[in-house]
Amino acid sequence: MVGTPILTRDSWELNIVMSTQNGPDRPKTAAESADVNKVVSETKAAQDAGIPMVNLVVDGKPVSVPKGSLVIEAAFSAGSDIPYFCYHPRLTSVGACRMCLASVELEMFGQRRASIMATCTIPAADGMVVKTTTPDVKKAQNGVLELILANHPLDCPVCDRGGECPLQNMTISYGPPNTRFIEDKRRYVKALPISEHVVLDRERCITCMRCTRFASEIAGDSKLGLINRGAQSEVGPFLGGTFDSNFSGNTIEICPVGALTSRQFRFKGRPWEVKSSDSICTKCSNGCNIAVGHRMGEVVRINGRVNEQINEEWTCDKGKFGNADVNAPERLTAPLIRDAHGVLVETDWDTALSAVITNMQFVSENYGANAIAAFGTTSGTIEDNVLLGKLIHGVFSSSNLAYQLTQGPRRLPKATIVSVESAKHIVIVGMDLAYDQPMYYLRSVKAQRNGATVITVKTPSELAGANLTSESVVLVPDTLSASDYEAIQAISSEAGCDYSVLVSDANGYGPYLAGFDGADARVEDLHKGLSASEKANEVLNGLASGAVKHAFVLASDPVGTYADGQLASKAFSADAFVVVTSQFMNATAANASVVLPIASFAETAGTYLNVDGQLQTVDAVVPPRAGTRPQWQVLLELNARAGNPLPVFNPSDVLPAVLMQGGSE
Amino acid sequence: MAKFTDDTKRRLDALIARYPTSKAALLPALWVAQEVYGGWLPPEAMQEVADHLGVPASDVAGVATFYTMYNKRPVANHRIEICQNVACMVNGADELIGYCERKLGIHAGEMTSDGGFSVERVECLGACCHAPALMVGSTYYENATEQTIDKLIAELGNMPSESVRPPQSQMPEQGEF
Repeated sequence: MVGTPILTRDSWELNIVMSTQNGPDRPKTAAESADVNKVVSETKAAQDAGIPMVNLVVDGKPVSVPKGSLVIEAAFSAGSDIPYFCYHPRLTSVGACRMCLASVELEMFGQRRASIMATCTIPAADGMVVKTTTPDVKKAQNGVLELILANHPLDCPVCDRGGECPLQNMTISYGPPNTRFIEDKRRYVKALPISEHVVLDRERCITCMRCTRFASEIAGDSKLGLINRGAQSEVGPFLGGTFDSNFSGNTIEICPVGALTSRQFRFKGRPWEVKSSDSICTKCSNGCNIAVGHRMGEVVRINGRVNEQINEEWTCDKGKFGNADVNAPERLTAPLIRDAHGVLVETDWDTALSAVITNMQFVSENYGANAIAAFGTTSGTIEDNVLLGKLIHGVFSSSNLAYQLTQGPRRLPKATIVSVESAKHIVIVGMDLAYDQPMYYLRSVKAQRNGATVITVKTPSELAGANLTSESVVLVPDTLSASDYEAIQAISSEAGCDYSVLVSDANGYGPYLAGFDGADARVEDLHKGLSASEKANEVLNGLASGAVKHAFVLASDPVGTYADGQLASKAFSADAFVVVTSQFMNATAANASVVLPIASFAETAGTYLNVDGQLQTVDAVVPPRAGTRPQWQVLLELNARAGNPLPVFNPSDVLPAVLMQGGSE
Repeated sequence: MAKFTDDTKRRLDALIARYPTSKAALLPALWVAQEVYGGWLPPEAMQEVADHLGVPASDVAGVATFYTMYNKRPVANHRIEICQNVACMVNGADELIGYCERKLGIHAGEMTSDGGFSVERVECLGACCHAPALMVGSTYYENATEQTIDKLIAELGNMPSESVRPPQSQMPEQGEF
């Protein structure tokens, strides 16, 4: 190749003049900062807890870290920076990428000697002297990066990872400015879809094995593996299969390059134009902490956010990709009202809201207070429920605040998400834990890795064969029948253990906190358990018989979801005036008199009580879709129109009172 | 389409019993599977091994594809594997390979159209003292010449496959540990 400048070794070495942006202040992705924060905070916690420590020196700074920590973790604790790709604080170490090389001096064979070592595989030991900035180390780091980049394509401009890519960051901070590799890079099919959600680009892969370790260690399903060897190594699902895991989205986030990217987010925006705002996922009851990525008011992606009590840093695919329904074209964007011909037609908010209030006042005056009923929401916030209670109970004095027809005991589970991690014997009854309670599932995988037995039984009757002991953790869904709960109660109390009913909705206990189902509970009461209530049945029967003339259904679909579906559909096909708030058309809304389109979880503020009793407050991330309104604003306006203007300017004005004294006040 | 018979499963169980974990029996189990599946490991074979050993299929695929002596494509009845490393090469391995290719009308790495023979370049067979060496099935042919090849092809032409290696009779019945 005439004319191609080939660097000689000498000129190459001169080129190891690196960016000054290395060291602890180098540019970092959010994930990299999270890794370092986790290590540093765990070291601090260990210091406070009196765990055995080892003392070493990193870059001249003495540091004390818990026994068993790795040298790279000691360096983080000392405030030094070591570049890395394959190391991840929640995964086992493999030393696959060799990026974390540093000079480690230790006593070997009676002699102190320093050598360059992969610090993510070496446990810190007393008396070690670690140096991360010597010329030798820099040269080694340069060499490793040059090798990694030898086969890495230069497609950063079209790569989704570009801009938040650890490989880009490390190359800028620690890498060689150019390459001696003039041969052909390896070629594969670009953008190979390996599942519904994930595309794989094997050219970009640096075989750090983070994704395969995630699949086997965290998700526990080993759906990804590494095949072939050497430069031909490639990541993928089992030969010819698909990557069908409910946790596949996490591999996108932990991939240190753009090898695994999201099909949903692909080409939707560059990382630097995507703003990230903290929120809580409401796709299930776990309440995972998420960072909602949004660009120009549109939600484009969901990433995990650290919360050690709930999701550590993971998300499930239902939460990560399912929340795209925020942008769904099927969303309702104008209030609907039933016209003279009995057809739901679009109207404006003013007409819809005055129709609701007019009917409420009419029913209240002509049929008495209890002819009005309301159904609380388990997908909306606690504040939504409270404001509905204030309207129906406070203004119209109806005691018909109903909630749900699930037949299980109404109490928070004894087994919290974190506690499952240390359980020895876990029995799952009648649910697919990975999909129904993803964070419970991830902790059960962790428990299993620590030697716990995890058993799944299909029906409560099979529970008898599960060898329950007093230490067993029994996880039960909230969708079983009353007789099933009795059977489970009998078997588990005989074994001396408790069973934990896990609700499925984001705010499964919210209505109780707001005084629905006659509960008027506080969080402590939910831990003790509430007595059973027939309120929902009563109201449905009232609707069916015509005694209840006005029903306000807050963001739920009783016809589609209630256990006694027959009664629910009979009730909602009766002649009452039904108001439904909803993001989407559903079976209950289809029969309603007025349908109010509401904002999604990302567009509203409020508080949720998750499955194991943790209160989490979130702010709106993006403005509501045009035509929709946050539920709390709708209810505030209805209260005002009914003659009860409330001194509420945002949902947080409602909450403290609820937590102190129950919601119905 | 499962091909493991009760006998295969008994053999696998005997292998598993030799090791502290069933995963440790993966390599010999893959040999058995390769034998059962006619000399190569289709994904179904790896899946069957995974199911029987209780190891994730992706791990089995990782191991099977890591080692070149597990075949991932259908193989010829008789695979003439000629060493191409230095001792054999200076003693005429390249000429031998060329002779084979001309005689069978194929290139190294290919298979005759009837699936009878293939010629393959392999790495050191450990028989440098009798170079050039070649191997068919589990049998070594040392100090190989063109006559060796002629004889081999004439004799093996009508014989059934012996493509599995090492044959069961040569595997130790009980490990050392």
